Formats: sequence, C-alpha cells, structure tokens
Amino acid sequence: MVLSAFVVPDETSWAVWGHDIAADGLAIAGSPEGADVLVVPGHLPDGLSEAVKSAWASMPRRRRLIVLAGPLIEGADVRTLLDGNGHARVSQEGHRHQHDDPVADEHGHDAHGHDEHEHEQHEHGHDEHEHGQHAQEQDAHDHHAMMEVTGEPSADGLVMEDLEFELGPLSAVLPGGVMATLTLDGDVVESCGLRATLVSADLRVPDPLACAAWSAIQRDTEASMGRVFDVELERAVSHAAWLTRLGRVLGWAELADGARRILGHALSAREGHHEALRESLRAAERLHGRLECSRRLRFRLRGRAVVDRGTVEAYGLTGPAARAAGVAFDARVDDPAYGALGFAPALRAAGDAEARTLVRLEEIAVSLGLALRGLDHGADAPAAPAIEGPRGPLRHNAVSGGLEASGAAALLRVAGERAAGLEWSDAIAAITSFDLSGWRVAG
Amino acid sequence: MSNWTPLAVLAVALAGALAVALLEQLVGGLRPAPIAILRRAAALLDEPLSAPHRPDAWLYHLAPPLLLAAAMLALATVPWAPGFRGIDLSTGAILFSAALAYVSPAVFMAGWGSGAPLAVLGGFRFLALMLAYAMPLAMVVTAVAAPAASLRPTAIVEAQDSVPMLVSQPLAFVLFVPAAMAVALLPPFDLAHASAELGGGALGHYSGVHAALVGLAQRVLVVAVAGMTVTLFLAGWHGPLLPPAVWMVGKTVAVATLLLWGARRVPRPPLDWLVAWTWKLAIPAALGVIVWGGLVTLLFYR
Amino acid sequence: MSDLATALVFWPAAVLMLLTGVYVFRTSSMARAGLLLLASLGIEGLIFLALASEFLGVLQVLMMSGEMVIMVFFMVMFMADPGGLMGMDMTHDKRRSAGVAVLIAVLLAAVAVLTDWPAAMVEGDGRSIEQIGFEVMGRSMFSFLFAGVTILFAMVGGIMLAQQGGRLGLPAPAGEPRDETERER
Repeated sequence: MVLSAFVVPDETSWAVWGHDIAADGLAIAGSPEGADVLVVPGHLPDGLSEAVKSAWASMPRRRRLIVLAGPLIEGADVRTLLDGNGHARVSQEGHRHQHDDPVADEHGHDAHGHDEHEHEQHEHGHDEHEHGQHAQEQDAHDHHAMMEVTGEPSADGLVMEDLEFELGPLSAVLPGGVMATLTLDGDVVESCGLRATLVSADLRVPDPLACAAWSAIQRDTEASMGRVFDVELERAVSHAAWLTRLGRVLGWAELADGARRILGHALSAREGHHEALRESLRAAERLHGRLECSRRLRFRLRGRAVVDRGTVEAYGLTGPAARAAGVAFDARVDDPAYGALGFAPALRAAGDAEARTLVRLEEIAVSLGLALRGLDHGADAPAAPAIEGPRGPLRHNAVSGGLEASGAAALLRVAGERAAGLEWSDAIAAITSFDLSGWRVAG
Repeated sequence: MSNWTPLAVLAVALAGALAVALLEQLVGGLRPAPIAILRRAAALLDEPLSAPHRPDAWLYHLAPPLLLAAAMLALATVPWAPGFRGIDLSTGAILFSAALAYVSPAVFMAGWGSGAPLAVLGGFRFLALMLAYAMPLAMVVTAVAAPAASLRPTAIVEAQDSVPMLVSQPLAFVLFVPAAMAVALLPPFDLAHASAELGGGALGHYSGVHAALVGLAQRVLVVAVAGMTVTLFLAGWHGPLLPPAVWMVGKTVAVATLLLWGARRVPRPPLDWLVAWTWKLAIPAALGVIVWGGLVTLLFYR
Repeated sequence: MSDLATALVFWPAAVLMLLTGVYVFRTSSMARAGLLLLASLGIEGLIFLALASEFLGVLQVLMMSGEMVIMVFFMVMFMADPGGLMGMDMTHDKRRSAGVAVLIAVLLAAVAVLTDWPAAMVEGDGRSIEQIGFEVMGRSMFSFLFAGVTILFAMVGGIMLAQQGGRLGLPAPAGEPRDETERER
C-alpha cells in the first residue's frame, strides 16, 4: 500500500521525460477520486487546464500536489491555476528523485496534505462548497450522457441503447491529451473517434514527446553521432514506457515489470551512465525472447486491430504501425549515419496488435544496439532533414518553422476505426497498441 | 462459538490482511515494509469522509462495509485448528459460498454508486463474471463435502486425515482455484476494477475510510479463499510433527503466495471469452465433478 | 438460542424486511429496487437462521444473492429509466392491485395461523435425509422438472419479448431481415 498518484498527462509521458513514477514509490491511480497525489508538469498546455482543475477538485480532501520538472511547455502555470481553485501547497522537485523507502516520501508529503486540509476547513469553506457543486454538475453531465439513447441492434444481436460519452483528455485509460468520443453498446464499442488535444504554444518544442528528436534536427552537423545516440535512446525509452503501459492495460504485471526494468536502465543511460545501456539491452533481449513465442501475448493480441498493407498506404501511416504491416517506411534507411552502423528496420507482416508489440520490442533492442555502436563508433555524420522519431518520421517545416509529424493524425483515425466493434477491453488494448500521442503539431 | 469468537475472527482478519499486503510487496519484487502499510492505513482512516453528491450516494457508502462484511463472514467459516474456528455450523461450507455471494452485489453497488460510466461498466462486468462463477464454486464445494458426508468444514478436514481431497478430486481443485481468485478480486479476473482499462473501475473512486475498508476487504478475501482452499483440498491442519495451527497457517500462506504470484503472470482475458468458457466448459465440468465426488465417496469413503 | 435472543433478532429483522420490501416499490430506480429486494430477502434468510432453521437460512441467503443480482442485471438492461432519473412510478393499477395484495396477505396469514402444524421434531439422522432424496428423485420429480422447465421457458420468452423493443419499448425496426426470420419462426 503506497500513495496512489493521478498522473497528468500520463505516466508514459513522464517516463519519456525522465521520471518513472512507479519506481519513485507511487502507485498509478485510475481516477482522481481515488488518488492521493496529483502529479503535474509546471506548465499546462491549453487543452489540459480545465481537465486538471476538475481532476483536482474531485480529489479527496487530503490531497497533495507534486509538480515535476518536465519539458518546456508554454501554457498556464499550474500553481496559479490550482491556487485559485484549491489552495494547493506545492513541492517543487527539480529532478528525478529515487526513494528506496516509500515511507520517507509519504511522510514528507503528508505534512503538506495536512496543512492544506486545515487551511481549507477553517478559512475557505466557501471554496469547498463550490467544488462540491462543480463535481455535481459533472455527474449530472455524465448521467445525461448516459441517457442519450438510440436503439440499433449491435454485433452481439441484442437490442440495447447506445451509451454516448466522452473520455479524456485526462483519463487513465487513454494516453494523456487524447480525447475519445465513444458510443458504447453494452460493453461493445460501437464507434470511437479519437483526437489529440494538446498543442504547445511554444513552437520550439511542438511535441514534448519527441524532444531529443526535435533538438537533433535543430542541431548543427558537428555533434552528429550524438544525434544517433540521442534519437535511438529516446526511441528505446519511449517504446519501453509504452510497453509498461501495455502491461498495465492488459493487467499483466509480469510484462509491466520486464518493461520497467528496460526503462529504468535506459533512463539512467540517458542521464549519462552509459554502462547501463548494456544492462538495458540485456533486459530487452530477454523480454523479446520471452514474448516472441509467448502464448499469452498471442492469446491476448493476435489478430486484434489488424492494419494491413493497403490501409497503411491509403492512410499514409508511418512508424512502427506501418512496419508491423510489412511496409518498410523508415527515415533511418536513407540516413548515411545509420548505414555506417549497419541498420536494418524491424519488420512484421501480420499488422495486428501483436505484431506492433513485437516490432517495438525488437526496435528497443535494435536502438540500444545502435546507441552502443554509435558511442563506440564516434564518427561524424551530417544532420538529416528528417529523423525517425519513436512514432514516425519528424521533419522540419521551413515555412512554419515548426515540426511535421506525418502520419500522426492518420494513426488517430485508424486507431479509432479499429476500436469500433470490439469489446471494451479489446478496444482499449487495440487503441493502446497504436501508441498514440496526445500532442498535435500547431498550425 | 463463544463471546470471543467475533474478536478472534477480527484478529485473524487484521493479521491476515497485513500478511497478504506484505506478500503482495514480496511477490511484486518490492522490499516488504510493514510500517509503511500500517502508516498508510492510519492515514486513510484519518482522512475526512468524502461525501459525493450523487443520486445513489447511499449505495456508494454501503458498498465497502458490505464487501468487508462478506469477506469477514467467509473468513469466519475457515477452521484454523481443532479447537480454534470462527463459526462452526453444520452448513459451514454453504455459508462460505453464501458469504462470497455478497461480494458481487457489493462491487455492483460500488460501481453504480460511483456514477461514472466506466465504473458502472466495471460493476456489470463483475456481475456477469460472478454469475458464471458462482455455480462452479458452489457445486465444487458440494462435491468435496460428499466424502466427508458433511458440509461442516471441520468434518471435511477430518475426512482428509489420510488422503487430501486434492488427490482424490483433482478436477474439483482445478475448477475451484480460478473461481476463488475471481471472487477474491485478484487479477487476471480483476475485470471490475482494472485501473488502466476502466480508469479505476468500480472500486477506483474511493478514498479515505472507504478506500481503507475496500483495501482491507480485498485482502481478507484472499485470506479467506486461501484458507478455504486449504480446508477443502489440502487436508487443513493435518500434517506431521508440527502443531495443527502451524500447518494450517503455513499452508494458507503458501496458497496465498501462489495465488498472488499467479495473478501477476497472466494477462487479463476479455470478459466474453471468460464468460463463454465458464458457461460452456466449467459448469458442465462441475457437474462431472459432482458425479466423480459421488463415485469416490461410494468406492472409498464408506 | 434462547427465546429472548430469537425474539430480539426476529422482530427487528421482520420489520426491516417489510420496510425494505415496501421501499422496493417506492423507488423509481431499477438498480435500487433490485438491491432493496435483495436486502429484504437476505434479511428473511436471517430470520430463518434466528428460528434455528439453519440449512434453509443459509440457503436462502446464498440463493437470494445470486437471484436478485440476476434480476438487477435484467431490470437495468430492459427497463426504462434504470437510474431512476425520470421518476418512474413502479406501481400500476393501484386500487385493484392493492386489494389483491391485501386479500392474498390475509389468506396466507389465515393459512399460517389455522394450519395444524406438526409439533414433533424430526430426528436429524440420515434416514430423513434419505427419505427426502428418494422423494425428490422419485415421486416428486415430475413436478420439480415441470416447474423448472416452465421457469426456464418463462425467462427465455420474457427476454425474447423484451428484446424486441429494447428498453424504451420502441417498435421493432421494420424491414430488417433479422426480424423477419424471427417472425417466421
């Protein structure tokens, strides 16, 4: 029993930003109402402010706020945002903290919680009342959404009414920032529209989930072997964080633990402990070997949410989703820096959720290997105009001055379409298998 | 049953819940921290009661106590040693099933009372699952009781002094364990409260005292289910050399560890798959188990 | 249990059972109604236990949970306004139904009071159980099977009828092949 944290925007993003929340002694809560701690970045993009406010309002009274140092996001300051709403006491934590003993952590934050509680009880009863009202309105809205009925027979032959509701941009079920408009028929998803809502006002970091890739594009030609190292390590971290999420979504603690082991070593490699790369690689290869012929993975993901070659080409999908369908779209293929390191993209033919999982798992190992060789190699290579990010190619747009992530919007559309017609757990597993990003490129 | 029985059951429940919490940490690869668990429980109990404005707030508030009561009642039917047991009724094994039957209404009430779409979905999922699993659970108990010619748990233990029921009725054990895991809310059967799939689900909207009750109830359920597995299949307190209570506790801890360990190693199957196989395979197999139990009784226990 | 202890359990439980039973029809939410009925019938099981009818009591507590949960399931699935947000009235044709209810209650009470119940206790040995077994599997088998199959047909038929219009009693969508094949059957 440890403190449970509701994580904004989600724990996968924080892993990419260098904080493994679960390793820091916090359990991931499924809803703000059952959470003790709200974990937030210092600044919030526009799409999140309201959601964070209402999450904070629906938390239990002995709540705590942890503001972690994240990437450069330009937006509302979370402290002023929640100050007007809940008189938050804030603990600023500069960099990744690792506690062997969760008690110390818990105790440290407990004091804040207590202060806050008394504060509110004695001086700001009025605010408290308003929160209650707010929550009530939210509930009324939920129930209203549930009453919207139509009445078409569904895939399982039962006539039931549709239940329409919106999920996101903050829910433990979807990646942070992704908003879903859902029609449920019993527990079968009838239709699912997904959209990314987060836009960074700061054009310098349009997608905070691909920081290293972005800065690698911007960087001069000199430090170019560093480019391969940065981008590949970022891919490994991103994929490992995603795999942790998949483990949690499937309720498979063993998978989540294995992925977290890769992630932990990769994160410490990113902080400069290069010897951890080998550890991470070993963990990745072990997990890959186990999952490659795992009947449990096959049972859960094979044949789910199939995206075939034709769909990839018609929608213009990129990244691991395309490579899992056997389409060798990879910006690294044409990159001389990668050619020197002997790179070949990981490919699968099936195009289902299992193939996407295995492609990413293989890519973790390949990326860590490339990062290692990039370190040893040390030769320089010219910067490329396009870079293969964790989710697909990223290109510098000379006109807008921003970043172009081709295929991101198409991926959201395909993920929504593939989730339709599936039972809820399959639908969520399918959506998770696409590794969606809640960020969209401005402009 | 004496005046001290409720207190004794409460003591067993609290100690057992703490032990299960420690086992969870051990199985999850963490360092066991009993003080942290106790401090956490104290912090939860110290928190002011949340009073959500919901149309069915009374269901929301009643669900955790009902869940805990069901878990406690189930635990009370487990005999720990020849002289130490909670409720020793001649229908104790049915009382165990009856107590566990109230887990599903409690989870449903929690989900419905929470009022969020995914929590309601979680509640209904659990109902669907438990409707399917309640049958094999009760039928297996009947089959195991047949050789003992009694539904009294102590008598069932006495009937196993030479051969544990696991040996004479292995199929019953195979059916009992997943059903027991499901009713104890353990993964991979955590369809009601899967946090990453349902955003906390039916039980994820509780905080403070409610959360403490739910957490306690979940762990007491694990103790009860593990204890009853030992009672029904692993010869209860029988064992050489050591005193009976030590054998019983040791076996229960071993079973609980296996349940928690197994729970981490399997991905959660989809509801329709689980329910389909339970109705199509487990329930007919449970009928077969009853026939087998009768045959075994006629051939070897008379 | 002593007489006093029995009385202490019996009377409050009986009052609570009746109260929850009444409230089943006072609420407009299907979920609430089903759970109140579960409470009522579960408390009835407690009354059995208090009257030293152990097996019946435990069985009542066990079976009612399962049955009422199924009822909640179907009520929420098929009834309009499962959440009770529209304030639906659970009672219909009030005057006549109340009259019938009172009449039946009086009749049952009269039967309970006027019957000459056997006072002798049955020995708790194996013989009586054996007799029950032979009765159930022998002479009474036909009536049990008939009742069971009738209930099953009633359940399946009820679901088929309710499924046509869905929760709000909408007319079945016309012109769809699925419905036509059903009608032919």
